[in-house]
Amino acid sequence: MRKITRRDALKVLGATGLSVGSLSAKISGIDKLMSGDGLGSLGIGMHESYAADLIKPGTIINSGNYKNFPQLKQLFPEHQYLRLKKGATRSDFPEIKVFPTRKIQLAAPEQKWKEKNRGVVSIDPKTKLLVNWKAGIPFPEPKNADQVTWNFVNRHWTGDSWIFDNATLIVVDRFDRQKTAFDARFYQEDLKGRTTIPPVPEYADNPRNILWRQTAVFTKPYEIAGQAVLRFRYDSLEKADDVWAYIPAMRRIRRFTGADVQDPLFGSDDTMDDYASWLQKVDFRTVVPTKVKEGNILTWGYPDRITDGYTTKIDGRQMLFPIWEVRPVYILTIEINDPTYMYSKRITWIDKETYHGLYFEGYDQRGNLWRTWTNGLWWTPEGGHNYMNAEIDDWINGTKTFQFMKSPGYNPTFSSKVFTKNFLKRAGR
Amino acid sequence: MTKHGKIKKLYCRCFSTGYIVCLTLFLLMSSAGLSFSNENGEFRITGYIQHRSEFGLADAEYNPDGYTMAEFLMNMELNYEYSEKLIFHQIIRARYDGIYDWRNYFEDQSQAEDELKNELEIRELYLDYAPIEDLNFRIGKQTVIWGETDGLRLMDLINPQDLRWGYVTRAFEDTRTPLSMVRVNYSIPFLEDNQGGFELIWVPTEFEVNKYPIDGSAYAMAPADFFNEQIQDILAAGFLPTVTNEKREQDKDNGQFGTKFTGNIFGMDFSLNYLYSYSHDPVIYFDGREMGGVLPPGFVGTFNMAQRYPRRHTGGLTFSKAFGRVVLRGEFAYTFDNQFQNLTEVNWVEESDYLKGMLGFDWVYANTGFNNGRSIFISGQFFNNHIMDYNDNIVNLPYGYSMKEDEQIATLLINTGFLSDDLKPEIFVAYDISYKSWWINPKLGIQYGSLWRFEVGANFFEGESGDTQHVPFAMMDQGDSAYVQVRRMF
Repeated sequence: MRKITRRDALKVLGATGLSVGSLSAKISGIDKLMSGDGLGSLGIGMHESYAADLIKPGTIINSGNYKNFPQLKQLFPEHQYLRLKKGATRSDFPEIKVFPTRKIQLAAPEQKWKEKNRGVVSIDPKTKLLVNWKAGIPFPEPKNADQVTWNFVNRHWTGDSWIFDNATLIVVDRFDRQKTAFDARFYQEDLKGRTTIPPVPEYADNPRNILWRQTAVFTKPYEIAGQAVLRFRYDSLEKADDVWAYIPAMRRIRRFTGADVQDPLFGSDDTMDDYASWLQKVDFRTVVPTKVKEGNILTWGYPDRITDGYTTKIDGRQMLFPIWEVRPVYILTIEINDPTYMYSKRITWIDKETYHGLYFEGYDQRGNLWRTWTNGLWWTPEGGHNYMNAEIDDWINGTKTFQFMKSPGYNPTFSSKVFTKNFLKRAGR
Repeated sequence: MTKHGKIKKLYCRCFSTGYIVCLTLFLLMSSAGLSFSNENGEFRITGYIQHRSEFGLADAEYNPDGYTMAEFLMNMELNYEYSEKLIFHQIIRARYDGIYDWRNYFEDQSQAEDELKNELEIRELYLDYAPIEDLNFRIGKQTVIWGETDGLRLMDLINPQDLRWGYVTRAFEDTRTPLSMVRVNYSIPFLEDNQGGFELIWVPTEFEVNKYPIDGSAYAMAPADFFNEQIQDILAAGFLPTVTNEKREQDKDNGQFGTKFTGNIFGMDFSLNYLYSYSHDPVIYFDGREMGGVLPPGFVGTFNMAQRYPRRHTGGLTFSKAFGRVVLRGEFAYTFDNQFQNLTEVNWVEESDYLKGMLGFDWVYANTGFNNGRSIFISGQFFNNHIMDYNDNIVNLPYGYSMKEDEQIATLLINTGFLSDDLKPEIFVAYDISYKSWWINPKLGIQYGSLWRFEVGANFFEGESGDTQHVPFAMMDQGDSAYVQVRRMF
């Protein structure tokens, strides 16, 4: 592994004929990323192999030249590849600037747990549940779809908890008009599988066997302000999620069913079961991993939350994401044997280093591609990662939702009281 | 110009002014609210402006046809968040119903016009104070809702209702009368896993009762005729009937107190409730006859009646539990010594415990091919009210019909969304099993952009004539209506 210097980056950009000045004027902080400043000292390097073999860093791809790069067909999911051709879909890609692929490592405690699990954790052949697992990525070198699935389920974002101080969702209708926008705050804490903040690996006092708990408080616009949702995910397969919502118009907390998490939020394309690619409970009786293969994807890169300092924008139906990287992925196919569930199949492109879903496809019960999610994540030098952007396309209805998430750094602290119904009442109006 | 012409001109001017003012407000409120923050906290103004036009579909003595409501309503919410611990909240509501400038549907609608044409009120004004995380005080004028029922109220007894702008056809959010009170919520730390908590309610002095549609308004109720026979007898005997309304002043003796314990066991949410309050509807007491006094010619004395609002103790239980795609829920309210009207009693009042119950379900039905995966929400409820010591002379007030020992109502609500929820059809049906009367409310919500919401709907009532014509839905048999509503949020 070699550090890429600013000089290297300039050379690459020069070869493409792009003015470095114009690029840096558009995207502040990118030069730092290109130079790798601050990465080498942290031991975070670049993956030369992806850059060299697949597509050169510095390459600019647009609708006029994409056919010059036949390897792109392997680097994009089918529907994303179509977006390179002008007018082929309703969401053409903007110009893509390929940056060097960086090695993104897990936080030290998570890396430690991952190594600790090597050769120790297994999957019960009957129940498909994990055996001897306490925390962390259970399979450092997964061999099959089941193992990749469990790695995905047990990944961490920013340690044992995460917050979105603010998440803005912008919904574009089928006529390309911005239909609505709403803001929310999110909190989540893992009660089991903890790696960093005591108690590790789990709360001793967890009589209801809660795996994680999550609260969302919607703050804008007026119509939904004060609505708040509390969700508990239980470890037991036999126990469905508990979901409660405070409804301001009713001035009371209402019990939701597990199926409410499949309905889009407030006319958007975002369902609670799709957060972070998917939050559907993994029950191998109905959620069946059927196929996994290794590959690469050209997608939004991981900006450094601390130093890159840029913001993403939308232009019509496109998210203008300034950094694109080739990322190594597992391409995991999950069949869902529940005819009442919104999807019959999920395909997820899972980052091999962070285990986050970078791209996701959901197919309806007739087998048609319904929704896709493209996720953008940031990373911190401590090894935390969290979602900062998402682009959700509804390929059947022609609508689109953009997400912009703001979140603090690694292991944010907040009170556990946000996971109480009393908090929902207080947050509500 | 005749007197009538002058009045008409004045009306037209007022009407035009009202429209211009509302239109101006529409234009001024062109952004999505107003908010600013500094080191002293965050201040936010949000709300909506709404126009609602209603049309009567049946011409009847008390419910006219044609244009019956031209309401402009502004609901403004002001929020000041000084810190996470201290938040101020205020709702101001202004209403102008232009219908009184548009038409006279009754010979005398002056009372209705005085009361209903204009309204400006500070609807809610309270502060939230959370000295510690588990404890929250909400102090001020506010609305508190208990219970699990939709559309009908059992344990939701704290705030009375103001039904003057529509009988059952307006949302509870608009019809509840906020009260000045203290609400305390406390999460019990050692029961956090079971979501255990207390709520305490204390209304120190305020006395408010239910308000019903008044004569001369589009929703006026036909007077209860159970009383007519008795009044005729009284008059024939030479007694002048007098009715005093003993609606109390604001006083510490009016205090209401309630407590609720909530929790979750075996995945089931429950609440145990107790409320010491007073009836929001009056009971008519016979206070005896008095001979002599200053009386109109032909009368020998007075026949004295008094409308009183008796105290009551109510205990309640609610529960809800999810089973896959279905939530089962229930609610029971038991009022001790509830006072019923019984004209065969000496003081016309009979006491009996009164049990009201509801069992219901919410079903999120996934019809994966119907509207691109948007689920269909189906909710059913069955209500049963049981008079523990029943007497067949018991009469309901204010409606004035003979009550049955058990009275049942069933409701069904179905809604879904199309085109990413741009179109939201809904139908609500309530069937009074005991008195064979209906209320059907279909509506269609239309979403346009972030700020505009449209709604068209109708309310159909159906009931049998005769003895049961005054039961809640049947008495509106001639009151079918349709409406359009436009809301602009800011």
